[in-house]
Amino acid sequence: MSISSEIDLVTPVGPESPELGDEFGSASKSQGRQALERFVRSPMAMIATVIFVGIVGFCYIYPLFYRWNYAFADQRTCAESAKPGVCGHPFGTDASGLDLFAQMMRGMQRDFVIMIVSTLVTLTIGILIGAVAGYFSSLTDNLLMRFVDLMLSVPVLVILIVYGNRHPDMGAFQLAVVFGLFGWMGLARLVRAQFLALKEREFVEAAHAMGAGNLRIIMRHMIPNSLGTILVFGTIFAALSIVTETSLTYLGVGVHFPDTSLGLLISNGVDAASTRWWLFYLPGILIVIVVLVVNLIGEGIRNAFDPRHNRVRD
Amino acid sequence: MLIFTIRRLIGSIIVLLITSFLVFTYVASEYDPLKPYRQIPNIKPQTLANLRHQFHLDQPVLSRYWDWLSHLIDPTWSFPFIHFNFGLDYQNNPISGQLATRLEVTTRMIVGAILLAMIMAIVLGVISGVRRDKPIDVGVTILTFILIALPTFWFAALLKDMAIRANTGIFHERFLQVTLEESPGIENYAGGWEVFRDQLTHLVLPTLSLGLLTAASWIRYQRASTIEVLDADYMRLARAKGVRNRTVIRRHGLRNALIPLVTVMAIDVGALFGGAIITEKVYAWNGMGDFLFKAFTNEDSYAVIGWVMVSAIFVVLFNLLADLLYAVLDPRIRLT
Amino acid sequence: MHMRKNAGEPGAQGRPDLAKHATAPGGVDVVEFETDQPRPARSTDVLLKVENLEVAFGSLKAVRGVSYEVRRGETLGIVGESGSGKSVSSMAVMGLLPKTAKITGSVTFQGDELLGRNDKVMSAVRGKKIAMIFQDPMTSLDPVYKIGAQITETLKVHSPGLSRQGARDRALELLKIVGIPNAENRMNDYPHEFSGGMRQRVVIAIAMANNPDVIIADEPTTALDVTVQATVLEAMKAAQVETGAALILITHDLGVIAGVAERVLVMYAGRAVEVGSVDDVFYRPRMPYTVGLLNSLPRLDVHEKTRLTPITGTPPSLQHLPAGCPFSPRCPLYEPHCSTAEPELVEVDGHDKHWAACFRTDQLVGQDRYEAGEIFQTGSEDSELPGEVIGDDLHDTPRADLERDAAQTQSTGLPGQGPKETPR
Repeated sequence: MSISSEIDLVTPVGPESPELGDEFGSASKSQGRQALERFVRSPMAMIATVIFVGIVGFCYIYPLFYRWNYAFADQRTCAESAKPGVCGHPFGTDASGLDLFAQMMRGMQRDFVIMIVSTLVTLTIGILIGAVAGYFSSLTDNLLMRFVDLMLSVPVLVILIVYGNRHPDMGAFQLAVVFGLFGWMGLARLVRAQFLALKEREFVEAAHAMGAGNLRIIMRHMIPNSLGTILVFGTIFAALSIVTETSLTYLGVGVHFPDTSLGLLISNGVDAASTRWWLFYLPGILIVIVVLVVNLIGEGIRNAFDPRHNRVRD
Repeated sequence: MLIFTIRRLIGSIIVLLITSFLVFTYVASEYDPLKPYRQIPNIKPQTLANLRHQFHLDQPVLSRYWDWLSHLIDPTWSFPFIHFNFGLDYQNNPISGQLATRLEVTTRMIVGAILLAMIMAIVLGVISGVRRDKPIDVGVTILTFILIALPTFWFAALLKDMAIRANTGIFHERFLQVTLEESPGIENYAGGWEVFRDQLTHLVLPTLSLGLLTAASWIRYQRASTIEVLDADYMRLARAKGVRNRTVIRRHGLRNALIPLVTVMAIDVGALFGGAIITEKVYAWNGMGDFLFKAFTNEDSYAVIGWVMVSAIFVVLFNLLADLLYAVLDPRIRLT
Repeated sequence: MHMRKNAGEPGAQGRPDLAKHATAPGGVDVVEFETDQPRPARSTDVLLKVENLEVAFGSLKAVRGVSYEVRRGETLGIVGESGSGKSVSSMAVMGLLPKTAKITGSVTFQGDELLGRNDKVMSAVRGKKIAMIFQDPMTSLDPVYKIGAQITETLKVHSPGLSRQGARDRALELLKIVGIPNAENRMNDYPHEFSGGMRQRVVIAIAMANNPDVIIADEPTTALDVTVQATVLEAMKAAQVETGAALILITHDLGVIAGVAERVLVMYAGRAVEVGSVDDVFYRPRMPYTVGLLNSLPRLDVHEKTRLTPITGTPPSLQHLPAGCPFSPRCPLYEPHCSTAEPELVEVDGHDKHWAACFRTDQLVGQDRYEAGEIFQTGSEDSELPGEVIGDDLHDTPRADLERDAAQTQSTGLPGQGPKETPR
C-alpha cells in the first residue's frame, strides 16, 4: 500500500511558452482551464465527483434530521444487534444498540476530516521542500534530498504504531497530522523533478529576464505548471489516508471509542462477518466506494492534464 | 557493476545505522519493556528494580544503543560467517532465533502471493494495455481499481467469510483452513506429505488475499508501461521489418515494458518480507508481522528494533537488486 | 546466401520476384499473397501504384485522394509541410496505421492490392518488398537489442532457412555498405552507443537488408544534425543503387529532394497539388504553394542581401478546411473563384509529365521560379509579418552558418546554383 508508481503520477508540464512580452500570460492558466474542461467532459470523472460530493454532503447534512444519534445506545431488547430494518434502525445496530447508519455517517465525517487534514499537511510540506530543492542551488537541493532519503528510510508504520500506542487518546485529527507528516517524501521528489525541468523552460527564463522575483516565479509559473502532478498525488494520497486509517485502527492505534470512523466500524465488524453480516459488509462497502471514487477522481485529473489522445503522425 | 554493488552496500550500511539509531532512540524512549511485568499482581518493587538493571533500563538511551550495536554482529568461522544478535526479548529469549522462524513462515506466505501477483500483472497488464479501451481493458481496469480501494483486512476477512461459507456449503469439510499457518503440532503425528498438504490448505487464503492486493498496482503499472511502449517508434520499425504483430508485441513490446515492472516488483517484494502484518493478523499466522504486533503489545523495544533491522535489510537488498536488474535489462543504464 | 547485386546495375538481375518467393526453399513463412487474383501483364515495370488514397481518423481527413506510382530504380520525392498527409499516406501504404484509421482507394504492388490485407500477408510484404526508414533514428531502434540482432531479425523473418552465420555475414556486409566504420565490432553494440547519423545508417541497413523493391524514407534526415544529413543521404543513395529499389523520399526539405529525386509530388492539406519532374517543379513551378516553398529557400547564387519570403499564415486545420482550394487563404493569386471549388490536378505546360492543381496556374505559365516568386513579394514590405526573416540575419549566428554550409553541400543539383538571371 504505497504510492509506488511514481512515473505514473507525473503529468506533463505545461505547453509551450506563452507569447513573449506577456510575462503573466502564464501558460499554466490556460493549461489548468483546459484540464478542467477535459475533466468536466469525462463522464467517469464527473460521476465519481458527484458520488463523492453526494456521499460526503449527505453524511454531514442528514444526521441533522436523522432520528438516531451516533452515540445513542438504544436500550430496547429488539435493538440489540438488530438486523437492518428491525426496530426502526435502517442499517441495524451493533451489540450495544448503537445505530449503524448514524455511526456510518459519523464515521464518514471523521474520515473526511482525516483525508483533508493529512492531505493538506502532506501537500504543504511536499510542495515546499520539493519547490525549494528544485528551484534553488545544488547545495540546498542536496541537503533537502538527503533529508528526504532519511525520512524514506524510516519505517513509517512502526513510528505510527509506536506513537499511537503511547498516545491512546489520539483523535482522528491528530492521527491525520501524524500520517501527513510521514507521507510527503514522494511528492517532494516529484515536485523537485518538475521544477528542475521547468527551470530550463523559456517562459521561466523570460520571467527571470524581466526581473520577476523568485517567489513570484515559483508561485506564478512553476507551481501552476506542476499542478497536475500535485493534484494527482493529492487525490491518491487522500484515498490512501482512509485506507491507512482503517488499517491502523484495525491494529488498535487509530481511532478509538467513543469516537468512531469507518475503520473502527469494520474493525469491530470483522469478527461478526458470518453472524451479523451488516456490521461487516455495510461499512466495508461504503469505504470501498469512497476510496474507489477518490481514486477515480485522481485518474480523471491525470487524464485531464495528460490527454493521450490517439496521436496522428505527420 | 561490482564496484557499484560494493559502494551501494556501504551506503546501505550507513542508512541502516542511521535508521537503527533513530528508531532505537525513539522506541526506547517511548516504550516501557517492563509493562508485561508491571501487570503481574503483587510484583515486588525490588524485582522490578532488578529487571530494570538486567535490561539496562537504568542506563541512558545512548549507551543502550551502543551496547546493542556493539553486540549486533557475531562473527563465526562457519557459514554464513556472521550472525546477527538482536539481543533478548522481554522474556529473555534471543530475538534472532525467533525472527528466523518467523521469517520462514512469512516467506512461505509471500512467495505464493508474489508469484500470483507477478503472473496477473504480466498477463492482465499486457492484455489490458494492448487491448486498450476495449471491453477486456475496461474490465481489468475496474477490477484493479476495486482491488486498490479494498482495505487489506476487510478483503482478507471477506475471503475468510467466503471460505467458511464454502467449507460448509460446498466442501462439507474444513477444506480451506482460515487460521494459522499449519495445524498445531501436525509434525508430531503426520509425515512429510501430509504436513505439506496441510500447509497448502492453510496457504490458499493468505496467498489469494495478499496476491490480489499486491497485483492491483502492478497491473496498473504494467498496463501504463505497455501502452507507452506500444507507442514507441521501434515497435513501428519492427513491424516495418516484416515481423508479425504478435511477435513484435512479445519480442520488442513485452521485453521493454517489463523493465519498469521488474524494478517496481523487486522494491515491493523487499517490503513484503517485513511481513504482511494485517494479513497475518486476520489469518492468525505467526509470521514477521505477528512478531512485530506482539512486540508492540509488550512494548518490547529490542524486539521492535530487531524486526526493523531484518525488514530494513530486506528492503535495502531488494532495492539494490532492483537497480542491478534494471542495469541488466536495460543496456542504456550504466551503474556508477 | 548472398543476395548482393552488382552495384551500378540497379535491378538488372536477381530481383527476387513474387513468384520465386512463393516457392522459396525452406520457406516456412512464405506467403503467396497474390494467388487470389490473376497477375496483370507486366507491360510496364510500375512497382507501386497508389490510386486515390484517402485516410480518415474519425472526422479528420488526413489524406484526401493521393495518387502516384513508382518504377524500379526511380526516386520520387514527396514534399509538404507537417500535417499535409505525406507521412500518413506512406504509413497507409505499409499498413502501419492504427485500426482506427479508415483507408480507402487502392495501393497495388506489382498489381496486387495491399489495402485491407491481414497482418500475415502484409508482414510478408513489409521489409521484403517494401521497406521503410523512419524520421527519428534516436527512437527507431529497440534500445535493448544489439544492432546486429536487429538487422538479422529482418533477415531471418523473411528467410527462415538462413543460418545464424549467414545472417551475421549479411548484416556485416550491410553495415559496411551504409558506411559504418569498424562494422565487425559495432555489430555487438547497442543503439545508444551510436550517434544519430550512425543509427540512421543502421536503419537504412535494415531497410535494404532483404533487397526490397521499394524503399519509403519518411523524413530520413530531418531529425539529424545538418552536418550529417548529406552523408546519410549518400548512404541512402548507396542503398538504392545496391538494391535497385524505387525510393520514395518524404520530406519537407526541398533541398533534399533536389539532390536526390527525379520526380516530385507536392502535398498540401492531404492532397497532391503539383506533380512533375524535379526540373519542372523546381524551375517552372505552376502552383503558388510550390512557388512559396521555393521562395523560402535561401538563394546562394545571389550575393546581394535578399529577403526570404515565407508563406503567410499557417496550414489549414484538416478538420476545418477552407472552402474551395485549401491554399486560397494564403495564396497571393487568390480570386473569389478559388473559393467555389477545389481545383483538380491538370496538365500544365502542355505535356503530361507536369501537373498542378490551381485555377490560376495560367498566371505562372512561362515564368521561371524567380519570376513566379514575385507574386509573393507584392506588398510584403509594408505588411507586418510576424515571422518574417531577413535573409542576411541568418548569417549572424554560427548555427545559421552551419545550415548554409550544409545547404551548399546538399544542393549540388539545386537549380538556384545555375547561372540564372537575378529576379530584381
